[in-house]
Amino acid sequence: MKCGNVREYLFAFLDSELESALSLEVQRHLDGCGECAREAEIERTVRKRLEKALVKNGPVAPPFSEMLTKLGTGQVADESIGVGAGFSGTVSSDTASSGTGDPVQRRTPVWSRLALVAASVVIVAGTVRYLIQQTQTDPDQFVRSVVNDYTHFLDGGAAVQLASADRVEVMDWLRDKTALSVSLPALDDPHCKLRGARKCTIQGKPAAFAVYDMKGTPASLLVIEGGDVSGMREVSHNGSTHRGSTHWGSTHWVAQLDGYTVVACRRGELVYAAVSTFPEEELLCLMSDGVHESH
Amino acid sequence: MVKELADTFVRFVRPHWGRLHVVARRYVATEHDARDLVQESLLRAWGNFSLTAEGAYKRAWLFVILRNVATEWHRRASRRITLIPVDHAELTEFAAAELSDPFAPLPGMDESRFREFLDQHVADAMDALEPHYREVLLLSVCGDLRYREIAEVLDVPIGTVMSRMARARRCMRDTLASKVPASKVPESKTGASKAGDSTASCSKTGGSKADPARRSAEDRT
Repeated sequence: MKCGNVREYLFAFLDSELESALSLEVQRHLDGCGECAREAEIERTVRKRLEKALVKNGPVAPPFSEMLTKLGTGQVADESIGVGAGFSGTVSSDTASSGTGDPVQRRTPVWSRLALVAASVVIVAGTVRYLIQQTQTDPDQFVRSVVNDYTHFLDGGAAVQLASADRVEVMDWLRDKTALSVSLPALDDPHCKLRGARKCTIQGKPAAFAVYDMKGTPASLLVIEGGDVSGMREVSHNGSTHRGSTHWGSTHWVAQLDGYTVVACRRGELVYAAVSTFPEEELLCLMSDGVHESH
Repeated sequence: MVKELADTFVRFVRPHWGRLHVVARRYVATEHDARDLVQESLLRAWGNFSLTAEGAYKRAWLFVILRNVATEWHRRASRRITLIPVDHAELTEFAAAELSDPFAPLPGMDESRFREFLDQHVADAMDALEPHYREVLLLSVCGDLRYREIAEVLDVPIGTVMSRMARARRCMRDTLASKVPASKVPESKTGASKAGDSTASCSKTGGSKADPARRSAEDRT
């Protein structure tokens, strides 16, 4: 990709709005072009400072309870709307015309209320059924879920939400978005590079999804609390090392599904699952703490 | 049933409460007006909120209402309209070559000086943009909306959002570059910048040296 093309896509790339294949191409160019990388860093900083000026240092919203007071029980008096200068109180007459009464009831005919009741019954029944299903877990479901996520976001071309090769920046972002104590491997392998991340949901739970470029092929590292690895093959390695780096824990789990390899390990309450088309040995680099020794 | 509806509405609105105010503040002249704007928008949203369709509501819907209320308010109050609906077809005039041109050069400064420089000038640089460029940036930076959501709010194709966003940020870059004393601007390694040419088409005052004081006074009339 040439510098001119990168400039066209740069802002969408920085905003994580590019589909993943194009995003990877842009990132590859930035990795090799100092000039474009500098421009990207400048624009990234411009946006951050703009956000700081407008949002962080911007207006402070009034307490949320202020709105609740006005909406809460539907009691809205004309004078409490607080209209601004030049605005002659033409707020929706539904809420302004009387100071008492329930706006929902005033606007909702009987058939609509019956529909609400029917919808509520359907929702409750569906929730009960869902909860029953959750207690009867399929041991392969975790593997299927992580592979589906991989194919959906990477093969399907969906963009990462944060495009960055900065491990610390990506970890901070994931921790903020998912409330998980995500820790990413510190890699020193030129053939395995961090590309970005997104937040996703696995089996109803928030999960962190980090994207790597391994020799031109995407790999994902999913982090989730309490993932079920019982359907995977357990491999004990008694603290052995992989290419000079130390594995997390003494056990990892492996599974194959539809041509994809899933390697998982536990770190505290979290399960880390790497997914790609590479074999188990290659994916283990994403299960390590330290730095690779290059071959 | 009413309480359940209210609880659902509150859960839906609460995460966006702060961002709505930040965006509203850029639509109107004072903080008091911004609060009124948000309040009226949420009253309108509340009036149209129903339990059965809860899953279909997205945060972009709130920003659509906010924008509509702001537009009506300005029109009703006979203020200078700062939101100008522009047919998305206008972007066909911008050749792809412009977006691939080198950026306006900024001087090499250390990180802290660069941040100080930006802190002084970046908000004004955004305010100097044409309204339809400024608005996509506003909704992205202040509203934290994705491009797809901005397209919904503005009722334009997502490609238009991408073009306006790129244009807005290149124009801001030109404005920032113009704030730097000429003696400190380094020669661009990639050739001459077109800062002078492109700035005229994207700033409200038609040039890169917008007067923030004058612009602010215009906004308040």
